[in-house]
Amino acid sequence: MKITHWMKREDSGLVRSTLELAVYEEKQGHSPVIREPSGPVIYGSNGTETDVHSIHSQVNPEAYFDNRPKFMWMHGEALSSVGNGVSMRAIVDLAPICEAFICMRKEEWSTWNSIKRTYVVPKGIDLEVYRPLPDVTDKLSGEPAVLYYENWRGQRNPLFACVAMREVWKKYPKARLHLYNCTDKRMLETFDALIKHNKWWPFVRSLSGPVKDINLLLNKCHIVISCLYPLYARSIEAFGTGKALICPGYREHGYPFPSQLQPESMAAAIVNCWENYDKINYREWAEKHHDVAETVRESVKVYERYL
Amino acid sequence: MSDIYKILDNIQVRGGLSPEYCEKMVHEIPKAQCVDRAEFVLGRCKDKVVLHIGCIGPLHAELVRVAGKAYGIDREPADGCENFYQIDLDRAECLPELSDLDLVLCGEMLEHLSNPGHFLDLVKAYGCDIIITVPNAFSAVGFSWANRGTEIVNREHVAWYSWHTLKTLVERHGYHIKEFYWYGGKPIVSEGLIVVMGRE
Repeated sequence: MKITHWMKREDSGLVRSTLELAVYEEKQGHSPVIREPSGPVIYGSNGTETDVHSIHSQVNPEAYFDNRPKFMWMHGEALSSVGNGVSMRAIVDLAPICEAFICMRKEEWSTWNSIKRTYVVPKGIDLEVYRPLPDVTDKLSGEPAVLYYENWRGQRNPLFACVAMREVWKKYPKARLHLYNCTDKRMLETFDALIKHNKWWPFVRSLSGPVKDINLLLNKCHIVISCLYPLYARSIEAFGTGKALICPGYREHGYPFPSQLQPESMAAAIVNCWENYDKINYREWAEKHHDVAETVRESVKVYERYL
Repeated sequence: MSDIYKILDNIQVRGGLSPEYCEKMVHEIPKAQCVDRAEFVLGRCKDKVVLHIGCIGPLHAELVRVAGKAYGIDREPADGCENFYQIDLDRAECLPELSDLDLVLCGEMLEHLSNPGHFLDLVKAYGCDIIITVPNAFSAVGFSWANRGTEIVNREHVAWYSWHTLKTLVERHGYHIKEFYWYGGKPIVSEGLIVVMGRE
């Protein structure tokens, strides 16, 4: 099947997820093409007519009426899509030319399905990229070493994680929090000031930018913390590397360490996770629930319904 | 790992711009300190024989005071200025023969010229180092006014220079930049640029 993905080139979770889909489509014998909405082909051959269009943000108008099935992937979270003033309007505008939407978390199905027929597929990651590494000696400090590495923007920041870690640190004085992937200068200054003023420096031991090798970074910690709510995003990469995840938006499949979006609840979840760390095998959890190979198999089944 | 992931490398390096676009359009700006223009220029001219091109203005009197000897060139007449030559640099076919020069100072004049390349070819005959100062195309002040729908620029100026455009211009005419500074404000968005350059 020739699958054309329409994707804007930007440094985002959406792009990472889209590339993973294309990689595993290729592995499963399909022919992915990646194009920018403005037209240029980023990957693959545009020589023959596509079988389906897979829309990840916008699509070139030339494809609007080519009679090929179109599916829009709902990478973002519905409330944010309304909140940013742009995304939801764009989604609604494109809905009439789409056969269906595809979302990756069942909790959001009813929202997207209210706009267009929506299918749910598992939210997967590339488990060959995100994997446990042997012999990582340069670990992040702390017992537990807790890592925050979400994209920092607006309300997506580690404030509650810091407050939660203060509570964890009271019980486990060796607990440490490491903040990575901050690319916003004002955000960096804000958290630098918070850490100094609130005297968080005994347990907040890193305030850093992005790293090239995310898998290696994940392999250096015990627990990944995310403050996303009501959903979750790419921090499930932690599971791929065999690490735990604490995220208020992650309550899938009966995960044993859920929390509310509230510092005390997050602290309790971290403590609970640390004290029962071996309760589940996180890598096996990823293989069972978050394998992008399965995401591709399920999405191809959806495409085939419309061919 | 799949070649598809190389797309991500390109995105991370250049914020989503294509390699072809980056090759043509994206230029690193070297780190440089920000100095006081008058202080810098006068410090470099101290005890030297200097030709000051675009000499009409308050700086020249200070330069005459600190330099070993000062010549001046301007398009406009300069009454009472010693060693002065009135020359239209866009039309001149040669510059005065001055065999004793240590330094040429082109302060805030390149942006007035219709044909700056022609001028750079002419001034190369002197063989000594040249200091050029120009307003910065990306100054914070200019950007702030432009955002409000107003352009703040001397009505005689015909060009804005940035690090890259200035470097490209002087290199195209056979110079190489030896030193680079910002003046006035903060690096990158300062009031202007200073380069010290010599012949290749």
